[in-house]
Amino acid sequence: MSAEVLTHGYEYLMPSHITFLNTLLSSIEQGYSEPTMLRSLGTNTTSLTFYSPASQEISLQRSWEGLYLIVRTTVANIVGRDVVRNAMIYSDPNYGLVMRLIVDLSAKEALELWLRLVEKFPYSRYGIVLGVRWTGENNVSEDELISYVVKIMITSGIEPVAKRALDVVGELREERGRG
Amino acid sequence: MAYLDTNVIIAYCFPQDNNHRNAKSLITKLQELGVKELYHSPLTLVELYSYVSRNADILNIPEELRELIRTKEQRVRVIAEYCLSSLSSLITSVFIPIPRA
Repeated sequence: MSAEVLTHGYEYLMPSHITFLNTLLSSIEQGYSEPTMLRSLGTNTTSLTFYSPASQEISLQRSWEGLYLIVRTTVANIVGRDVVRNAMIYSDPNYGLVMRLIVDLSAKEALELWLRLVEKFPYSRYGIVLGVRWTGENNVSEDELISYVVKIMITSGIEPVAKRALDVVGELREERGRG
Repeated sequence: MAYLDTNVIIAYCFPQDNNHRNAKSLITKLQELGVKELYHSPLTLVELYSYVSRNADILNIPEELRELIRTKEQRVRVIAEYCLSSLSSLITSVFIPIPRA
C-alpha cells in the first residue's frame, strides 16, 4: 500500500485505533511495511500481510484491522464524517477476498463513495473487492444503478469471469450461418 | 479508421475467450499504427447483446455487484455495457446503413 492512500484526520476513530494506525502508517511511510498480498484466485487462500519496521510479520487479524482502519479513515475523509456502520470480510470463489462496508448513506451517496473508494483501492492493484451497502434511501433508478456498477467494474479493474473457455468466433460464425 | 467486428470486441473483453490475447494484441497494434478511432455499428451492438444474453449464465461478476443486479436482463446490460465502456476511449459508434436491394 503506497503513501498516497495514507490520509490524515483520525478523529472519528477510537484512541487505541489511532495509535495502532499511526504506527502502521508511519512504518509504511518509512518504506518498511509494504503490505504483501498472496492471492490465489478460486481459493480461499488470499492473505494480506503487513510487516513491522523490524520486518516482523503483523498477525493476519491485525493486518485486516489495519486495512479496515485505512479504508474507514479514507471513507471518513471522503464523506466528512464516520458513516461506516459495519464491515465484513468474506471470500468470493471467483475473485478472492471481499471487504463489504455498510454505510449510513443514501444509495446515490453510497455508490458515489464506492466509486471514490475503488479509485483509491483498485482491485487490479490490491486484489481485494470492495463493496458498499447503504442503510439510507434507495434513490437511484435502474439505469443509474447499472451505470454505477459498470463504472465500479471499469475503475477497479474487475473483469467478468466466465465459468468455461469462450469461443466467440465459433459462436458468431454459427449464428451468422443461421441468418 | 478501423472497423471492429463483434468477435474482436467480445474477445477483447473476456480473458477466458480463446482469442483474448489476439484481440488485445490487434487493438494495441492499431493504436501503435496511429489509428485513433475504432468503429462499430448497430449490428455489433445487436450481436454483442445477443451473445451476452445467450451466455449470461456462465458469465460471472463479483457477488458484491451481482447482488444489486436482480434480473437476467440487468445482468446482460451490465456485462454488455462493461464491454463497450472498457473500449469507450477507443471506439466511435457509427451508423452504417444497410444497402437496400
